[in-house]
Amino acid sequence: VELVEIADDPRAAWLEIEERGWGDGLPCVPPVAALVEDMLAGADPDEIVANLPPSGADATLGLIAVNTVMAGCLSGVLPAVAASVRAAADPRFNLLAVQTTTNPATEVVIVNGPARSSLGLVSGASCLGNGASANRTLGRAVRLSLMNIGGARPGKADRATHGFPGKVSLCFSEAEEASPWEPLHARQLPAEMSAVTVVAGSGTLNLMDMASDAEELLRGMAGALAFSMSNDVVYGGTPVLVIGPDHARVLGEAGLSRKDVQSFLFEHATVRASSLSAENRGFIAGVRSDQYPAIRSDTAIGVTKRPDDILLVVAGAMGPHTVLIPSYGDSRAVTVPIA
Amino acid sequence: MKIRTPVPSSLGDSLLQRSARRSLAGEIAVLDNTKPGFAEVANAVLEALVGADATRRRGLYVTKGNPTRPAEEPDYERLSSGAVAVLVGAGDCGACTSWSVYDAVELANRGVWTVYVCTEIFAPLARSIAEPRNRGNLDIVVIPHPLAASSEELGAAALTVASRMEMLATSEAA
Repeated sequence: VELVEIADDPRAAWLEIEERGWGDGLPCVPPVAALVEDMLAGADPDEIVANLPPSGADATLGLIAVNTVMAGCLSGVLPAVAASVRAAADPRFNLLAVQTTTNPATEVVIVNGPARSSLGLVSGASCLGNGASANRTLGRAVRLSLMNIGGARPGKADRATHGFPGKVSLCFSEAEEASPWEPLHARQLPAEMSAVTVVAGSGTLNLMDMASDAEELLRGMAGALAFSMSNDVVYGGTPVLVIGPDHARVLGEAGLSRKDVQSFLFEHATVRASSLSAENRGFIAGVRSDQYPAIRSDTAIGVTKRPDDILLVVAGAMGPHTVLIPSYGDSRAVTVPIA
Repeated sequence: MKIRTPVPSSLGDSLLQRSARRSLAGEIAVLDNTKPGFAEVANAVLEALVGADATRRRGLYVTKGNPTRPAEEPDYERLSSGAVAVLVGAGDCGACTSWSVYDAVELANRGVWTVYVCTEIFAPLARSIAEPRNRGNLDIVVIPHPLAASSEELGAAALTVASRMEMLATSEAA
């Protein structure tokens, strides 16, 4: 990791970092050597975590630590950031596509296990919004790492047509205690472990329903999941439902398992092929030919290839809300332990 | 103040890979990533090239299952083993450009002359994918954006690609 001299004045230093193309548009912490050393906490800065597209550069712990400092993270966060980078580099995540697509896609980082509290992450009020500094800075550290090391600058290799505000940072932890189900990471790892799950998200949409009946609630969610210009419909994706505790309670009290909910949504979250453009229908006929060998105007096209690709995570504060994170589509969620 | 840089200092030695000899005398193959309009362009290019010279023949025409994933290894082998040239396209969005350039690099690395087609908007991205893979010399033919245009515009794009391939075939490979 090289050293460069920049202005001492904080505002001038930030502007210089932006001019060099290393920033994300918001003020950042200058990564002076002492802060980077503190972030590394004795870890080997030359340890390679992953190779990142499109640059083909190796993401070392040292480079990730620099980006983590810039994001404003406090010490102790580096293992979670490195785990997120490792997960995003997994071929199943399709990072080359996520980094360069015209879609607004970005990595959504979901943290489970004891690390939630040790890192000060928020799974309750405004967990996706302003104020949750540990959430915001962790997600920002991952994006800065993927952008700076992976070479995906907005308007350059990152070809996002619009992007979206979550592309600066989109990270939260699951409210495991409010969930009627096993935590998200337990689908692959022991529940007592700390883990990150990355999934390629393309925005957030709030879903409000005051339903007390579980089936009515699920019909509402299914209706929101499937819309005609959705990448999930085009590819069969991995949409995330960030289910608020009130909605989770309705589903739990109805005795519905995670699998029950996923199966219901898989069956009902569909759009008619007639509501799609000829181009999108043709595209689906190619990329989802196994699932839909013959598409007619009345064919119901679902949002995923399998029920368990609909990710259910409980988070947020009380209130009749769930947030839908539509996915990029051609990417799978990847869960890895935090070392 | 002195700060640590958040970007890699170097990607190592960039050893430009030698390109295959450019020729159209033999089979001309296509790797189509299914982007709307490219099949029309590719077929018109083949018609123009094959119709202009009796030594040229239509080769394999492979259609990828998914434009935002790489082609299959056996497809790279089939395309590179029998053809003198492979036309790869098309890049007219971000992820489809990235993965189709990746395909073009894979084919070029197998020693077959590879010509990549993308729209003007995505040409810089295409180059930025090819260069770190030591294929800054990949032959890229740029056509107007967007690709999914009228049949007249697709015909004009095909003429651009065909004439560029004719010109490249008579020049020394980089």
